[in-house]
Amino acid sequence: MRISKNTTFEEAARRLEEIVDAMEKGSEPLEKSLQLYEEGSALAAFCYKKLSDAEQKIRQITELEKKEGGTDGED
Amino acid sequence: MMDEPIVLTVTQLNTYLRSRFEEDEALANVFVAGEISNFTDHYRSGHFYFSLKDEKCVVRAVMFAQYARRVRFHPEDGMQVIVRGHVGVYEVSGQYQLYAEDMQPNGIGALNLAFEQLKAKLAREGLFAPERKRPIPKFPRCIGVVTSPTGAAVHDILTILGRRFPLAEVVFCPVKVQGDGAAEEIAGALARMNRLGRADVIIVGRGGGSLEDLWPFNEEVVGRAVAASKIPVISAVGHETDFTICDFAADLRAPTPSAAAELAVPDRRELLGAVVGLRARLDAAASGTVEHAREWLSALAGSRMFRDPAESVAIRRISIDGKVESLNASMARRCGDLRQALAACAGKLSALSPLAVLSRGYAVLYGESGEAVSGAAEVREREQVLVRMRDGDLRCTVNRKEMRKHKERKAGADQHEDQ
Repeated sequence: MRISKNTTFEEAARRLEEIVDAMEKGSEPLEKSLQLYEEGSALAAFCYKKLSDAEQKIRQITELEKKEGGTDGED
Repeated sequence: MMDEPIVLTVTQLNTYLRSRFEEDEALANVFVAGEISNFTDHYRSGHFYFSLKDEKCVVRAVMFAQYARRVRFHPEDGMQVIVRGHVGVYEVSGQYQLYAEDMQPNGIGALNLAFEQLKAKLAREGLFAPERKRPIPKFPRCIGVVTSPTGAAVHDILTILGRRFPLAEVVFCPVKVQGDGAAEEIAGALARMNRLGRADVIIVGRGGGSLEDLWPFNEEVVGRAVAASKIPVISAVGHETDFTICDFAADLRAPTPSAAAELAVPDRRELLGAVVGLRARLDAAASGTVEHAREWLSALAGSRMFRDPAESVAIRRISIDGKVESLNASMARRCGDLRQALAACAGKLSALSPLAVLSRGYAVLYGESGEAVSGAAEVREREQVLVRMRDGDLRCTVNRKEMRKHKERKAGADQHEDQ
């Protein structure tokens, strides 16, 4: 899984769990395990950062409705 | 004058009576307790027509629409009520009746009754059915909040959402949460949230208050809007002991607005702990994998093949040498056998050879045709013949042929030759 701007915490956490489960089973060949480890490390760092750095965004519904209305108008 | 009777029209009579009723202050504001019967809810006008009765008597009653609208419950036949109003005469029919301005259930609060009635109605329709309840997403990306912008509830909700799961965005829709029009605003806000389609879960509610204050959350329009929402709804109205129609229709009831916020999102601290835990498991699994591979390698390296390659090669060589040897031996044996067989054959062959006969002093006779001759009958007189001896050939001419008699019987062929 590639981490992108749109990656959510949930996706990353789920993939990380998958990787840890697979690694713990130990059924993957060494080469693949190392790849998974790298991927898992990146995901763990991503999740950690997401949780630590996040700041709540609060928006009024009217603001979003205007935006929605605006894009509808353009279409 | 006294014996001149006054003749009144019916209208005059009824008008007079009506004025007498209206003059009577005792009838201007009465409270009457009784049981409702013949209740008619006039849909077009919105007026209620009914009778009030006790064990013995009955009185007709009407409640005009402007008053009927304010009655929170649905009057039904058999219901014990207290009606406040005035008594008047309906001139057209000459009937006096109770003009009701307010109605309260007798023995139970009107709001309580209304609540029970609406709850029963919506339950019958299946709006509260457990199978309708949708799961609350574990990691919402966006949370809709529908509550008053001024109450403590919004502050509590936003504080907890921000502390627990700041990853999620909040869309706030401020609404009136008590008084006239509040129910419609709340229902409208839920519809707007659904139209926008951004939130993964909606928190709707308000802080504590009187039953009257909480009432909008007991209105049918709110119950239906909550049930109709495609986005899961967490309801948090008042305190833990307050139950509203909104709570029953929601996918999840929270005892308080703060609790709703806690139910809506996971806790960042727990998640951080989980991530750290996963990270540790990942490291452990990885080093386990490497360790495993290392053990395998060292087991391999520890095998005789790697520990003493020369010995191993020597062992193999011995084994190969052994094979070569046995191959050689078997080849030699086979060759010996063949040689013997060949010698035997050669012996047999030489025994049969005519040359061997010659070596014992015999001769072979060849006729002119070059064929070997096996009897005298095959040879003509004067024929040039070749006598082959052990050490040389003799070219001879047959002078005379003498056939032996006692042999003739045996060799019939010779006799035929003769004749």
